[in-house]
Amino acid sequence: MNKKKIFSPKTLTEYHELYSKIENSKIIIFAGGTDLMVGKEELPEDAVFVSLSELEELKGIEKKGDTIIIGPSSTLNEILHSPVIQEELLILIQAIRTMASEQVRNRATIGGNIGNASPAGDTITPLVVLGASLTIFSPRTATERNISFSEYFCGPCANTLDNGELITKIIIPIPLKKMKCYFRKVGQRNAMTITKASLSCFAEIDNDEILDIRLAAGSVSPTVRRLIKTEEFLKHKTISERTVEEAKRILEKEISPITDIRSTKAFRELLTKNLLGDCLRSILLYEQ
Amino acid sequence: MNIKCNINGKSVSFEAEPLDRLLDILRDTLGLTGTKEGCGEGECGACTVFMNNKLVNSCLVPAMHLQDADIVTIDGLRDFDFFTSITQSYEENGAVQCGFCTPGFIMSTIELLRKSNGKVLTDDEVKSVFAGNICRCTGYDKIIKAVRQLLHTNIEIPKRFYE
Amino acid sequence: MKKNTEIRIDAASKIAGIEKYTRDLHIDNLLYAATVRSDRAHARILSVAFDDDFDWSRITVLSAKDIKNNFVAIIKNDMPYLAKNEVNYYGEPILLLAAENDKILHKAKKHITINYDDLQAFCTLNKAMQSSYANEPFEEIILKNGDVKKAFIKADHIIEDTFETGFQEHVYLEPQVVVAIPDGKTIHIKGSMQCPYYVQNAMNELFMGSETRVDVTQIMTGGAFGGKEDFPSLICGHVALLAEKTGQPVIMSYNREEDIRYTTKRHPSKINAKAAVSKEGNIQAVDMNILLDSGAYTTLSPVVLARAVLTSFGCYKLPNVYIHGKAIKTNIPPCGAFRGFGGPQSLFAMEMLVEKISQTLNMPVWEIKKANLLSLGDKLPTGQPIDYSYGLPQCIEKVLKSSEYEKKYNEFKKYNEKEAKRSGILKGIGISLAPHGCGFTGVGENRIKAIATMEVLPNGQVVIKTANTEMGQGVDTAYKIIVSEALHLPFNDIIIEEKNTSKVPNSGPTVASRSTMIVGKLLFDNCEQILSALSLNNIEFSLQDFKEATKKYFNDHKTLSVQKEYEHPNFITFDEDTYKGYGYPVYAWSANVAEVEIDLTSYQVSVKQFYSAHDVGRAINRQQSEGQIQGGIIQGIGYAIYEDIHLENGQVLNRGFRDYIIPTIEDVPELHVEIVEDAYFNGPFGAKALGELPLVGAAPAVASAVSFAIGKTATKIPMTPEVIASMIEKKNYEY
Repeated sequence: MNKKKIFSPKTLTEYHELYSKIENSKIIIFAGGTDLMVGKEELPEDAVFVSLSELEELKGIEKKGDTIIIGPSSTLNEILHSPVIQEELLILIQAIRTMASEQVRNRATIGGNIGNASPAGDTITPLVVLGASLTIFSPRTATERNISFSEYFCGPCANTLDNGELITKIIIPIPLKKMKCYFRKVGQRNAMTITKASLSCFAEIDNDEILDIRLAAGSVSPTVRRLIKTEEFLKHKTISERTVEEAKRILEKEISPITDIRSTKAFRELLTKNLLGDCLRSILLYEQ
Repeated sequence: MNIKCNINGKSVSFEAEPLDRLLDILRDTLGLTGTKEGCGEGECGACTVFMNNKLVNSCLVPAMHLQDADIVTIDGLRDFDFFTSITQSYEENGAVQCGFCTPGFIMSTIELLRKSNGKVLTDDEVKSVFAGNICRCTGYDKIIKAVRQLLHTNIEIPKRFYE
Repeated sequence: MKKNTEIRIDAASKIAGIEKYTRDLHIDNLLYAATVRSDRAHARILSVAFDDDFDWSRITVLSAKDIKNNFVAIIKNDMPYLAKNEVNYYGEPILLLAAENDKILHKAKKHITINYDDLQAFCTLNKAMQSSYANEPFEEIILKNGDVKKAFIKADHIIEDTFETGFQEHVYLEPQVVVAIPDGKTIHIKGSMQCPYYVQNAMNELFMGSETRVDVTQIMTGGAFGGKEDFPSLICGHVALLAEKTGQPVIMSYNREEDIRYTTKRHPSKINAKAAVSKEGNIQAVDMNILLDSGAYTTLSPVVLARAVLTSFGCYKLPNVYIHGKAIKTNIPPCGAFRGFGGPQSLFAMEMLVEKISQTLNMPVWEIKKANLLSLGDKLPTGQPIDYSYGLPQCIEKVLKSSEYEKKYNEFKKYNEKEAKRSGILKGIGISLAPHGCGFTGVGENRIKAIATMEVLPNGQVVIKTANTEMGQGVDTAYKIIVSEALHLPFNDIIIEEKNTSKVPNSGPTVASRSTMIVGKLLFDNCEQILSALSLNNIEFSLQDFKEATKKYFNDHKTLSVQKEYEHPNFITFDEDTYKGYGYPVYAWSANVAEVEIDLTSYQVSVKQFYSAHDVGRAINRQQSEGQIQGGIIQGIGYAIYEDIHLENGQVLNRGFRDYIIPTIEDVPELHVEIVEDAYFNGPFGAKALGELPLVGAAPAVASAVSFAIGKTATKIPMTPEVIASMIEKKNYEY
């Protein structure tokens, strides 16, 4: 391995200042490193690394009005143990609990999970249904901009960020307390597992009627997106066996899973439909 | 790059490439071979150590993050009093077979004792801390028994293991 | 025996991290080795090219043409150390490289180009069966008894199905690693291995005709499960050749990816089984066709097949059988030894055939098993009478009681009818009965003629010398217990000699659950000889007496060393042509009950409770015996529901623990283990085999519970959610 070029800027300004020196190289943003350290020998030899470990600006979790702002360098365990998140964003807690191990959660960051843009990234489906947005720092211009998750993804494990751009904030509107949430992930075993399919949901329910619903499924499309058609169908419906079956048929058309080492396309379709059934059942049971 | 950090209570400094793994630094550079490599991808927990009082997989920690870090490995535990109790409980409960995963399990055990802080935890709480430690020999049952016994004993984990 | 549980002698050093495994050895001037492998499943090698612009001066390269005796001595000697003209599997070693560090090797590999001419590859059992490979099995065995044809004509029911089992990777936590250290004309090999004498024999053949001599030392081994039985011979050859060429010590240390993709695994199987059954549920005949997917070379397939055939009849009395087994070549990495050794495959088929009988006849499966169960005095289809050390009935009694099997059987039936739809969970309870032939198959033990020696030192300490290796199973502690009991010596006075082929005799390999029963008995007999030499036999004596007798002995003698060679009892004979006689000197037995839940959203099976009783003759160390049983059960549960190797055109796609899934602590059931001790007359203190048995019965118990829950016989393991969904939903969700 060649000697790798690594920069550890202490401020975003410092990053901006050094950027002109590295802008022509492939820049790899290095956060906790739990993914990058595996197979590091295969990383491009001429890549330049920007380590975020000293960038204090990217750390911390705070509540600001009716939003929560998570610094992307927050580790999964910091989020899991954050009283603010426990109080306001239960769905994120549920998702992170299913992720990796104690050892990995102490190192892996939420920014890294989002940065990989994997359709199996377990923090992403909850963030999508929460309506979270991302603040992106451009080191070229030293400016920040906000984008939604739908603007962020452009393919499996690919995002729309330019070379060297960073996520600096994850902004999450605090959901209303009356919203029901659901998260379930199915992997190959109970712990330490990569998602075969997952489903996140927020819904507002009055009596038996779904007033509003947001759904996102993981690992079953090239990118994580809201399941708009299924949502539209379910809005203002009261749930019966028939509506659930109809919703599953719509859902099936909205996802496009693949066969890989973890599961088959056919099974992932079945599983996602089942998760929707389980979700609606559990949300409504909760209500009863 | 030159790295200065604290390993097992001693200040050390060494040369390393930024992406060198802490695991290799411990084993090859410093000769601390108690920490084992089972998978090299953070999945088995055999290389578990404490870094700044947090449990981590040393195969996933790059040298560049080690500046001023405080690392505790299995090789730094033998002289603590509490280690005798852990050894006894693992021995008496038959929690060791091939032993290759054992140092990692011991590190997670300490984390659990720290977490419980005298409280008795449920088996589910115990298991959640060990999910990142794979054992192929024992079927885990005797490890759980050893840990359960430790949770019922009054074990004092020294202050330096707390933040 | 007085003591029943002793703390392992290696526990404290392992806990403290001071036990030295091979990678922990400090070796000066060490070179690292790497393997350049085929990326074709079956091809002729046309050329090997080395980039000119790469600096090769720091790298030693070795190819097949450097090797005079290029075939690994196992059974048939058909596997080359390095492929010469043709590769037979994806990942087959073609070149070896050695250099001062891994990073250079990694780079160098990228500067080698191998050109191939592809040949037709048959990478699955089904494809191989339609090719010429079908006609050239590595081994074929036929076992006949009675008149199968007649039984099928007269039968009330003929019940048939095809059963499939998958690969299984051992997942010893310490990956394969060996090192060769040259020292003049001698090369010292050290490494993680089960059988130093297998390696010694392979090295003797490799260096035959040259002046190089080899000795082999086993270093503390971090798990093996059969994975370090045959495979180390290959990589020991690799490092020995590199050490010979470079004159420097060379280590070959596989990373996890290399280990999962290119080392041996459990043979997948496809077994067609057919039973003739009376309307009362009596099995009158079984016709079974066993196919093992053996991979590219023979390795140990013939003996794996032998055990598959001899385990296929389970614990039932079958008056008529026709069992036909074949080990078939395919273009995938060679399969090899794995705990259970063919038994888990054929027992799964037999137990599921019984499951299918029960579902066809609409009788509870336990009724069918009970009706056909072997009784003391019955004969196996080989003609071997079951007339001693048959503790299975006690095992059954224990698990039925502890699991409350019959009560739960009825409860779960009701639950599945009434509650499952609401809860989204199906419950199941299943039962399996498992035999395990102890020691080598047939006359194998008589052929090995294992030797164990012991030496008494002038200070009264004794040294145990065997080639049987500690790999986690606890053999060193078991040997100390046996000797300590026989000589009334404390552990401190018993020394275990290093497992070095120049220091210990060939007591045979550490396989086939034979170490305690066969070699442990030799040690016991050694102790008798020692007592006799010291004139202490048949009398009560104390430690003090022993020490004084030793002192007295050494007044007149220089050494006190005793040796014992194994011999089968006379009546134990076996005919390898007809497969008649004693398949094994004795069997160990287990009865297992598994409780499962199937989640109807995810189709995941979780095993909630597992009850097991094992007849091991005598538990030399009760706690470690339980540990072996628990570990084996969990490995068997992994085999049943999680562990899955994916191949594409012969290439193993699994790259590590991320995609080869074994049970974590959060995936295991509550384990309830009981031990039955029906002593075997020729084992130390009555001990029989224990190492493999726990794995053999686990998967069938889980599959039985799944069959109960779904109401349909499981025909395939691993029962991944995709397989379960296909069973429930009547559509194919599998690969």
